[in-house]
Amino acid sequence: MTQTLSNRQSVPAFQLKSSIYTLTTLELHSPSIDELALQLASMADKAPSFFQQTPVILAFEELHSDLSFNLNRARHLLHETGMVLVAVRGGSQSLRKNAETIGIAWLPAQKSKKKSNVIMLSNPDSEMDIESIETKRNEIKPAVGPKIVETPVRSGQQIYAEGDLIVTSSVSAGAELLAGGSIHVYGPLRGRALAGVNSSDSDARIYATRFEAELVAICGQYKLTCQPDDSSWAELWGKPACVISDTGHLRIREL
Amino acid sequence: MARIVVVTSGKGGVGKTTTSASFATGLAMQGHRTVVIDFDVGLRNLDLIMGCERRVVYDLINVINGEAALHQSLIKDKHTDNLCVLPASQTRDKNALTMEGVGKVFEELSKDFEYIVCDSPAGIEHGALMALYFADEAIVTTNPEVSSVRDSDRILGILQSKSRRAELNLEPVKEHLLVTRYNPSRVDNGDMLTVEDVTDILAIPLLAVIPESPSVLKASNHGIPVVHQQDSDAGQAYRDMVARFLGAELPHRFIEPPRKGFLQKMFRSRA
Repeated sequence: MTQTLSNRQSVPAFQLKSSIYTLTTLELHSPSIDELALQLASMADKAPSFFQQTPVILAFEELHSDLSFNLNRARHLLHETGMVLVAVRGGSQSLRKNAETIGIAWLPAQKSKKKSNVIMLSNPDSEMDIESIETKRNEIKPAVGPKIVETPVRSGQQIYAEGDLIVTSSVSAGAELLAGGSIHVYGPLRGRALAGVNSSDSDARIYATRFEAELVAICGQYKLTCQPDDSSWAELWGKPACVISDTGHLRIREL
Repeated sequence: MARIVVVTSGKGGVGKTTTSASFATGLAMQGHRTVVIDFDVGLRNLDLIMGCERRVVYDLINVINGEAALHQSLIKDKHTDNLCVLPASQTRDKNALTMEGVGKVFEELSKDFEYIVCDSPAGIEHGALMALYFADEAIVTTNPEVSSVRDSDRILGILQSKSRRAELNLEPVKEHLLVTRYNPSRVDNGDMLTVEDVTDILAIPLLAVIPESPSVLKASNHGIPVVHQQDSDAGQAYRDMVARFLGAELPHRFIEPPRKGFLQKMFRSRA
């Protein structure tokens, strides 16, 4: 009896995990609900099944005022098209309150936007059919440009890039670099570098022109560099080097 | 518009208050109207180093809370013209510092002074953030040892991300490195990091190296900033620092160990 009890205690009911998803964002350029309805209807006509159960975010950064905006109506409109409104981004305090009342998440406004990620679905006159929209969306997913950091990354700072991460300055001990793709450091790398964080794609690599990292990881396989098990790590300390994942083992190579 | 300069480090006991006192005094000696503010609310020391602890009536928190006018709390320095001290409160804690309050004090001080020197408390919490938030320039004070260097690195990251200039996307805070308590003989022995080690890790321009010196402690205990002492090596180093800060180009001194005399050399070669 005691055994079953203790077993039950050792298996938790759930585990909290963080995951990263790419979500469709509807960036509002006009506060008018009627214009929104019109454009949604024409889009739904062209691709009726495209937006079924697609989670979307309404973004308010481009709007000067959202005071007259009826969030609840917008949610119903989106629902009719098949989209599910999961969160609003940016906007005023009153908008945030409205979102809270109808049970929708609120995200802080984004400072800088990448214009290149804009999908041109907004032109109602375009003769785009479903297939071309589908392929367009599929093309855009992997095509994340590199993130470039030109200032020193200091102790206690954490930098995340969806794709590749390029640092043209130093990375101090106690700093952390995370990248979905590879990491390139043109300078001393003294902090932690974790490449290929959200994929099982072990092609990600870590390059540094002066390799003095505390810890390196590729696709979850990590290595503390203070206890290198083969001499190549000690030999390449402070030199230009590249870390690769070779059948689950991290290896260091001269550059 | 006054320049706001924060003297900061992350780590405690590295010489922030000593530096604030001597740097502000040095600026005033060069004829610049300067005020030095103690942000170490609850652990105020600047008034002791400046030798005005018996003249404190009102403090920074009184001004922020509207209990005293700014001119009532400013203490004119006895030794130097153009210099005022704004002391911290010893009976309150750092949460009494508000962003609006501090901003208002700076705005008012900007009318009368050219340089506002802020003596930051140690740490990276509220008090230190308030001291660096409005800064135009930062003097990052570092001892030549690893923990001090790492904390300075952390503070540099915070200057880049949490200061007003960073938040408003203005020109970033101008950073200066000040290496204090430098002992060239111990560096030679390998006990201390070299100036090159420190500049290599922190990667910001070196403003000055202040040698470890008994005159610093003596000056602190007498309440006269060490910059006043003409014959002290630390005093000379602080004067060099002020001159460089104001744009002069001077070679760095006090980095090499003192030359040994002929007899000492003989003695050493025999041993």
